[in-house]
Amino acid sequence: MSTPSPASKRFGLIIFLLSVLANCGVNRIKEGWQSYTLFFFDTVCDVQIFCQAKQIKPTQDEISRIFGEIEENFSPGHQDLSSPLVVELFQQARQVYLNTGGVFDITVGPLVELWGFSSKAYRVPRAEEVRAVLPLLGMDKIRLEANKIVLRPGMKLDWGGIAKGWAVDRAARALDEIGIRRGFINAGGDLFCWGANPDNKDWRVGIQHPRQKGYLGVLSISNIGAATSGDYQRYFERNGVRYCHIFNPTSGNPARGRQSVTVIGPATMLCDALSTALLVSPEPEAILKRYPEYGAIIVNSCGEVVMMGKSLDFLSF
Amino acid sequence: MLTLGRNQAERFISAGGEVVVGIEGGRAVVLASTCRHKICQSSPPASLAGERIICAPNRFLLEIEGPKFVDTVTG
Repeated sequence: MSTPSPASKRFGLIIFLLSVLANCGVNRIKEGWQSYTLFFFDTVCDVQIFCQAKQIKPTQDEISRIFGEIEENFSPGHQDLSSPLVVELFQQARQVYLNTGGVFDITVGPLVELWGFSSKAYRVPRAEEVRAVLPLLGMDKIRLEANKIVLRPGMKLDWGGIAKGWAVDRAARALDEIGIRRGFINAGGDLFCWGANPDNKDWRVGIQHPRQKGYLGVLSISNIGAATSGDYQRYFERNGVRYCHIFNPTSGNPARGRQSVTVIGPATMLCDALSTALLVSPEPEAILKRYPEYGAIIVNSCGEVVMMGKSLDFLSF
Repeated sequence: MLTLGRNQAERFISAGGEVVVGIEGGRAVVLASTCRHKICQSSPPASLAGERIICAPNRFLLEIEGPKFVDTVTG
């Protein structure tokens, strides 16, 4: 075999470099930022991902499949308590129930009905009506038998504080498996973002101000989830008192004392559940100590902003 | 697409029904909707880039276009 001359080596190198540049050019043409909106969970779900054109449809199909399956399994009045998905999320919810001292509780369904949130026929029930419902609450009253959830008569589950976040986690994981390395999925405020944003920086996530238009501030985050619970999302007013859709399972009354809670951490499902728990709990710091990877931005009833738990890159306005 | 610079009203047929959007004084509102609870009609007006009015039953999303200050929003 003859040894290539220096000139032919140089030629070979140029050809190789041209080939690399050509490939980069092809990739640049085919990859780009894609945004689309889907309707699930009675809200809009925004997706922005960096991908090849041919990946758009598969990602839409996969997110729709995952969200559709979760919507079907966890919609009020349509719950198969032996479904593997339901049993799996029940076990996750029970762990949060235990870690939050029962503040996060998916058995608040009877309260949601009593106060009229399920029918949108809002009402303030009498104290004895609330007391009558309290024995139907408590995840410790639920049994798991042969992979089936067994409720006591009258108990009703409300997955609103955890299912959406879980759906986002599953969808983000599926997109990662497809090969999407940058993007976010945001299902009505429960979101997960990963990689760098279109400016090659962390994602700028605005936190909705609980009492006015615009943002409370902006988070800079990546490879992390976020979720917000607030007394402004679903509520009604009677005689100047605001009654929100998140309940204190001990008193049976809507949560009071905080306008909103945003939680940031590795799993959107836990951000979702913890934001609900921290809106209700009188001791949010104690709960966050059990979740050292999670941080919270709490707006109290006076509108003051308090940060707790893991430190966050948050610019307040 | 509607411009905020001109007072007007326009009917949109979406996947779930019909929504009438009104623009007045640089702000967009939903004037009428075929949805059941009319939450979209009681939504505050939208006027700044990124602000939205959503009618989930009608699968309708109104969003003000323009340079955005954030990538996405939680809340």
